Amino acid sequence: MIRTTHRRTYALVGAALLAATAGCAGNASSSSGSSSDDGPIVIGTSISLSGNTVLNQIRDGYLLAVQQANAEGGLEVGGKKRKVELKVLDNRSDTNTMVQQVRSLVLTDKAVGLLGSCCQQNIDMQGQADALKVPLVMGALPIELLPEGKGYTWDSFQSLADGAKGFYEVAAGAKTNRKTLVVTNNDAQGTSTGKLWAGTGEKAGFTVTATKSVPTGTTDFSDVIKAGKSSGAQVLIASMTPPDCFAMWKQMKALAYKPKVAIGLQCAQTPGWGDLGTLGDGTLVQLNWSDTAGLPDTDLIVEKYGKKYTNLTDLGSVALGLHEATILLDAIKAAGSTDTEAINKALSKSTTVSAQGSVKFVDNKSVTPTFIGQWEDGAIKQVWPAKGGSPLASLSGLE
Amino acid sequence: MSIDVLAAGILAGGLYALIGLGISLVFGVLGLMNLAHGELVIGGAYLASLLVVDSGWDPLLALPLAMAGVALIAYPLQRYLLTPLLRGDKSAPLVATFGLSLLAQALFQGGFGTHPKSLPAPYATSGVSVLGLRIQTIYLIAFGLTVLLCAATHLVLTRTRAGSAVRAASADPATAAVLGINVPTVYAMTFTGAAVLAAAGGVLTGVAQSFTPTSGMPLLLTGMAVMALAGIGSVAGVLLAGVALGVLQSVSVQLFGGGMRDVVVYLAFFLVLAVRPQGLFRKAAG
Amino acid sequence: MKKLDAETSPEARQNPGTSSGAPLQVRGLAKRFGGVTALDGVDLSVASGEAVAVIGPNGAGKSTLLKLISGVHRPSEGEVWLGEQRLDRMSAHRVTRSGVALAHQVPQPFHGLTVRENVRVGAMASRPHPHPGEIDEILARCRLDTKASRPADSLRVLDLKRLEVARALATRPRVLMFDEVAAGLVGRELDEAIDLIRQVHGQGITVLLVEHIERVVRELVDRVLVLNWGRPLAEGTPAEIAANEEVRAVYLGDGDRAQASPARTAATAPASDTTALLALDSVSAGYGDMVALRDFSMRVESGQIVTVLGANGAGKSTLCATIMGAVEARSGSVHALGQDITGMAIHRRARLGIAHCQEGRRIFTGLTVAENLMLGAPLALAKDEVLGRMERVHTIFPVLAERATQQAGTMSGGQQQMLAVGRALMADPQVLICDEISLGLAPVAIDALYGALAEINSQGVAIVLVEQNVKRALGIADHAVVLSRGRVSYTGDPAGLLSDEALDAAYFGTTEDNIAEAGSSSLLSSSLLSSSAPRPLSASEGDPS
Repeated sequence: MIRTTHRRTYALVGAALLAATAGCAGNASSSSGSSSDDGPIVIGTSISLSGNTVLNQIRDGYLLAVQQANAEGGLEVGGKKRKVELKVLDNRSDTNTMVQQVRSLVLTDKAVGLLGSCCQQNIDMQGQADALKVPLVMGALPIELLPEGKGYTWDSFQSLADGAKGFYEVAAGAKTNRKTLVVTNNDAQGTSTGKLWAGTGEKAGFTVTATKSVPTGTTDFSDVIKAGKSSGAQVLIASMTPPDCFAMWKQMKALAYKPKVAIGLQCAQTPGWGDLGTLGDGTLVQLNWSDTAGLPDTDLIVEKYGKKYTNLTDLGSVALGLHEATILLDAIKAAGSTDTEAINKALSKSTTVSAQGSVKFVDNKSVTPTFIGQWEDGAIKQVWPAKGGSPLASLSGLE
Repeated sequence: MSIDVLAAGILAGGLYALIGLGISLVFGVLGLMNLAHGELVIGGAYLASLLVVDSGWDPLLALPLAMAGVALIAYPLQRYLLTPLLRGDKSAPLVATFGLSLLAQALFQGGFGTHPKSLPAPYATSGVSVLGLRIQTIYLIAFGLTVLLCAATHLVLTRTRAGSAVRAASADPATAAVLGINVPTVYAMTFTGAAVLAAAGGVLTGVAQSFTPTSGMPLLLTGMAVMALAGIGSVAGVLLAGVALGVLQSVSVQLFGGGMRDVVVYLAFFLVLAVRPQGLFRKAAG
Repeated sequence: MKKLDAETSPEARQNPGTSSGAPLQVRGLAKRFGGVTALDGVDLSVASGEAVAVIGPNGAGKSTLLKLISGVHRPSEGEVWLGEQRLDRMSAHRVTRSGVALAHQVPQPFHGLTVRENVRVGAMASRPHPHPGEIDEILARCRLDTKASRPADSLRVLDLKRLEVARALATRPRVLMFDEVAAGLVGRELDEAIDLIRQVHGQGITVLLVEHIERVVRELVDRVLVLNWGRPLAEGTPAEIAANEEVRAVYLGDGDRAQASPARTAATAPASDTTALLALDSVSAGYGDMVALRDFSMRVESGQIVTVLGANGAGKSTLCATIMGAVEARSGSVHALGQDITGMAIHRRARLGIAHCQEGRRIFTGLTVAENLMLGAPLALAKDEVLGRMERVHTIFPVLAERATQQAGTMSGGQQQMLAVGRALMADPQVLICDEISLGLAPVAIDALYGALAEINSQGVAIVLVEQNVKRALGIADHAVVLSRGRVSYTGDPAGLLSDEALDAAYFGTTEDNIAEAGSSSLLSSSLLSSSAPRPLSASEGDPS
């Protein structure tokens, strides 16, 4: 899951962003392209590069894919090779801006394909792509969450169910009493995640002995911790914004609540988790990518971005971007045309194999692998699936 | 209602009071609602993170340096940007602080990234037992430090000549100037004092919790709630109001569940504004 | 006159019975703000259709009286009646609806609204709302009809005052009160203002004026109530009041020159080559459209006491503010202690050695006496030195030592004034500006203060003494300057003002028009009130016109 900062929407923050951003353009690309027969093939993205959510890593993945294609002379369309130009617009985490930008990308810049942003914005973008009848390739939205559309949006990402399944496999390998504490934020995403994970857990033989939901921005988790202690839960599933998880982990340690297995969804995968020092050690996270899983282009990603991004989460986002853009570029090549309908048709038959594995769209969705990682000495290591993974370590940070 | 709920609320309230005190000080003396106060808090935390995360200092050792660092930024900001604006329309400095808040967020984002940061310290994750209650050590430290800083602020304001100059400039800036008091300097010093308090609150927040470039806003709102509860002009009132807010949050979570925490707090906030606009801990003026 | 006061009250109450309509009656009205009594035992009866003026020196309680009648403040004691309606328990807007309107001294239009809109807002208080034609009529009457659609902000002073009156008229008042509406107007503007009030009165509206400008009072009203110190001092026709010795004393001071400065030897006449401690050259200053000080020049040599006299609104406080820097000099220059301080910040002037004891004391009421004193000393000054200065102030004002830890606001007026002077002395000034320090004080307190001033001066501090208490000030000063309507009307030896005639001439101007209008009453020419004289006739200097 890509979630670089918490997304609390305070009215004031919202107003602030609106006030601050209204009128300043966020165009990262300079030359005006067109998809006429001679110029470059234009694709575009309206992505959040500032504000509450910052997705520089995904953008870097997009750019990497375009670089690769152009290094080979571009894409062959209509019998001749044409360079690809990616227009990147920063929508500053604002949905209205995103809508404007998508329209201008298609209508003004004549983009023949679009790439996504993240999370809720991707859902909102689907409607735009359908309305403009331009193919949109996205990740960073669990495939279960993609609403039914008119067929122009293609989501290649993890399945929520896979993450839960993986986690319980890992947890089953540890010695626990299988009693589980679930704590989530009290918003829609938190609630649905809690339900899904609890349901999967029951099937896997775990018992949810306590469920708590807290508002984002909670700093005092004493009642949650008390519930965990008194119910004897040794398995902890937390799905909260990073600041909430940070505060809770510190407090768990201080109040001597010692679960045996703990996963921090939406939060623990942030590189900032390393700041917790030893406290963070042993915490499990859900990943969309691992450098040890033998996925295609791993070496390329590490070579190009291993210095800029030193952790699996960020590199996974680069991989995600590379994966999405490659799917779109492959489809243009397969269509041999810049006609949006032709490209869309080619997407449905996509056989791309890229940074996130092989693609096969069913109902516009293609599942990418899920990994469970574990923090150890300031870095995340893959612990599931076993192939390419390390053995599970104990939750030493909370011991 | 168990005693540990109360204890947690009281301790959390210490941090609220520390943040509220700076807001209240600036508002009381300068008549300026500093919308960038949350960023001063977070700025303190980021400055400390340079020493703590990158150089391995203990956060409490980094605390005075973070306070000094924020002071160095705050003083010229007030003296050369906000004070000149205060002479004109009252809304100009307000808007300016709002702009500063956004600017600071962008700078934090550029300089430190958007990932949450936290200041690791042994006392952040250790607990102590007090009267049979287990309490997170950092909250105890934070509460102690808050009381100390509140007391220091109170003493400076009431027992020193500089403090009476501040109170004089607050009550009647024109007369203070006639007496040879450099009112713009007094304003800048007051703002700096508030920034120093903010930085301390930021470091403590960073140790106890975490921070991102955008965590200033919720802190500002909490601080404003504290100020509204306390009324202007009493340091002790601010401390009491912070504790009251903490207890209110804690108790409301216990009674109504986590979802009602903010609702209850802001309900109290509006009730106080409606019924006792001068604040809970202050006599009505006149 | 005080005994007369007691007798007139019941009489006054019977008075309105003779005329129809609703008389305005004020009975035993008192108002205290904290420990300060602003108004005490005031009785006033205004018959329907009558025009009455309330006069008195600054701080006499005139504005407080109007605010009590209009419901802005609630009286501490006493009652206000309009006919059968008791007003003193009503809120301000209900008082307005009952037919009592107030035109403010400083016009307070709603900014951003046009003139017509301003008047329409004023009309919202009246039931039923006036129709548009009525508003047009009011605008025409106030000569604002041609400016009706202009924004109120664009109006000049006279028109702003007209708007203030128009707004008040739109509430369909039975009683209209004017709080120094003529203040700041000169020449023809003043004539127009008087015309307007006369016209309002002519419509049968009861008029209650608070005024400083004598001509306005004389031309418009039949009866004058004099307040001093919140208490009624005298009541009578303008002519009677003008002849009243007690009223005269209130305005010109009670000082006995022989006693005022027993210990003081006059500073030696300054040699012409010495540089003045403080020098103002052709300074003009003002607020917005109003020029409060015109082409003013003055020199204060070291060790001198220079007194600046003049009626209310003559520009004395503006002069102080200009010396201190609170008001910017529009032209001319101010030099002090060998430096050009014309554009210097206030606090730097203070540090240079100019202390300003402001009108109204302006002490920090929430701080203790000792804290107030210490604020007068520079912050950088060593603690010992501060305590030393404090001791010296304590020798001059022993009461400040006794009350050191007391909250300053809880002291009596005289003590607060001593604190204000003491605080100014803490700066160890070379020049001390005292603005109306005897205002509102009992004679015994004034004695103490003036004794202290003499002592301070004997220690080498030059003093600029701004006073309404003429006799006191002349008794102590080496040099006197009289201001009239912002201009110098006399400058020279205080002895030159010793005779009543000379003083009147400088103070009020012995103007032909006064005499002409006053007809046979020569008393009015030496009126105690401010003058309508358009130009100074006495030993004025530097008048370019």
